Amino acid sequence: MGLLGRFKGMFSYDISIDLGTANTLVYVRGEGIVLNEPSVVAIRQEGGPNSAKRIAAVGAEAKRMLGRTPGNIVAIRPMKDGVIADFTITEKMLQHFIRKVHENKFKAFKPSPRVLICVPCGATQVERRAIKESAAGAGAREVYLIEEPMAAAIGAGMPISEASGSMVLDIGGGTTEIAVLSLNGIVYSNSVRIGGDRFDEAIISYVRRNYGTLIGEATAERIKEEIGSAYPSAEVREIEVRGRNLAEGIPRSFTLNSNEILEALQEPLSGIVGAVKTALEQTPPELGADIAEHGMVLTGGGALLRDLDRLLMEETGLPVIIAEDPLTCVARGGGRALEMMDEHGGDIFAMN
Amino acid sequence: MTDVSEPNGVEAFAVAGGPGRHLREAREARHLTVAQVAAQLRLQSRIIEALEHDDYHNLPGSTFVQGYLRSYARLLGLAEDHLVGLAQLEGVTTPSLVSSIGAGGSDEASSRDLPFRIVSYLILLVVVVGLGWWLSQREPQSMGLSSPAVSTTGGEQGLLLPEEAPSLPVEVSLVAETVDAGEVETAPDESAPAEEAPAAEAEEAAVVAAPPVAAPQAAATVNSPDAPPTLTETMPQSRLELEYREKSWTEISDAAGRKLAYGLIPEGKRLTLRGEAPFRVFLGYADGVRVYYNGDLFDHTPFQNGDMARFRLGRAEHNRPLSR
Repeated sequence: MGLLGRFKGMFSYDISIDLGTANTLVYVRGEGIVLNEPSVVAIRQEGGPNSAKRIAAVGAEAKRMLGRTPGNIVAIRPMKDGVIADFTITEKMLQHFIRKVHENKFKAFKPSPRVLICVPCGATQVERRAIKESAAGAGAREVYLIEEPMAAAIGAGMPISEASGSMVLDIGGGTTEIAVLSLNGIVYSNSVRIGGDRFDEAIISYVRRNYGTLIGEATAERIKEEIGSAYPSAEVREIEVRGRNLAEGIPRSFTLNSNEILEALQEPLSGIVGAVKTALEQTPPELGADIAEHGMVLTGGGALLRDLDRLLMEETGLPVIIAEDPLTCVARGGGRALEMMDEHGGDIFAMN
Repeated sequence: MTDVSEPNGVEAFAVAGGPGRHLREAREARHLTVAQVAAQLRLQSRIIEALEHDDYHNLPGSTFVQGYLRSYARLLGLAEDHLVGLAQLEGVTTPSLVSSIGAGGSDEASSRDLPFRIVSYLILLVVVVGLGWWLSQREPQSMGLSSPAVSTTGGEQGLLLPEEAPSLPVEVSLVAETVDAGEVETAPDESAPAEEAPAAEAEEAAVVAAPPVAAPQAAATVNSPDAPPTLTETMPQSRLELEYREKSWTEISDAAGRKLAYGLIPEGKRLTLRGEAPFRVFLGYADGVRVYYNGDLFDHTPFQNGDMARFRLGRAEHNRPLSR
């Protein structure tokens, strides 16, 4: 890294970033999660014919603008399906987040942290490189990549170093990662492009089909969070939402209940269940036995969907548990991985 | 089996105050057996029993214990967070991230290990210091060596003298011949017009008067008075001898700018050159060459720059290093 880099490192710090489709989390080593914001960037087009575009807002502020922007502002989610959809904007967003973390620490120096970023295990080399370069462009001194399920398992506190199978299911905004880990390595991994976003889309299309009403993404997300569930339960919850009636063209208010949402979510959920079953099929029998004994662990925002563990339990017949604080598992695990790398050398985890 | 373990368990709860008691009471209130709960949670009965006894030591790890407690609490409709908060998980092993195999790997010598790093830094330090010392010593050393070199070469010269002694008269007698040889060998066609005539003459003389030894001498004597008018003071041509102990690149030109030698001369060779006095000498590997100027050993070490030496050689006042 060179002497200069080492010197700069004395005034810098290590951060782990969970660059997710829905949320970006930044974990600073020794401090914990310092930033948790939606991966949304709002861009303002300045007046004039070929004028520059400017970042109007990033994160939570930009997310509030989603679907509510005037003509000269576009709110963009630069990540799609767990990978970069818009390279430049992602770089800007990362830059913003790194600077924001940095502002609270050493103001006198330009930020140049060591950065560990989690990538979906299904990411191609091109996508990995895009993420790496994006982080380097945002001012990272060194960039490491770690596969998301590995970070999730570390963050969830699973015994991945033992010669015993651990299965982790990380349901993020864009992708669902399934992996079987043993001895610090990934035995099987699969990534399906189903996640929280697909749940929202499923709700939107269900409402459109059955109510003839169009609702926005933010509303769909709210519905999912409040009454969404993955398994039928005795208790039926309701929510009142507003959307534009397609026939009348006028915003209307109507009520949805949890059973309807359960029905709406069937398709993406069956996709996840199918992926889990495939993973179990592909797992070597000894590791499968370990998983059957201890159970699989759910992490990621999708784990917060009510009774998802119940659904998986019924479908697979295995114990399913939800990790503590599932939203931050990946970022925490990445931070822990950085520490481990320093203590034991970079070859502990299969990284690239 | 449950009947046997329960009495002990009850005592344990009273002391521990963990969530196990609440779980068991709630389960009994719902008339569920351990086996039924285990079937619903897809867990083994022994895990359920362990949870109810607050005995987490045989369970996989804190993550799993918390997860099991949550699932169990949810099944019974209890407050999950409260129950998990009650659980005393301090004693529960959190998995370390270094596997036994990984630890075995770290037992092996790694270049990252502190002792190895210290040793390699020390070696590096020694090398750097040694290099610095060597470089600083090199200049004075070569200076110091130069004087003994002179004396030893003086001694050698003494030894060489017998060798040279017979050659000297021969050379004296065969001045013309050697001049020719030198001229023909080193600069056959670029010799100055002023010299061409005497050279040719001398050659003729040498060829013609080959059998009688006196004739060349005469020719030489004829030659020498012939030349001075044309070349004035430089006419008593200087003799430069180079003795190669190592092969060296050599470039030598005389005052008139004629190239007397140019090329890589192999070791063991002895070069005798004649030309006008201040020679411009460049030696690629000066240490391997001894320079004799008019038969005297010339110490060129003061002009040495690294392996190379570049200097002007003539009468004492002419001797000075040359820049490129």
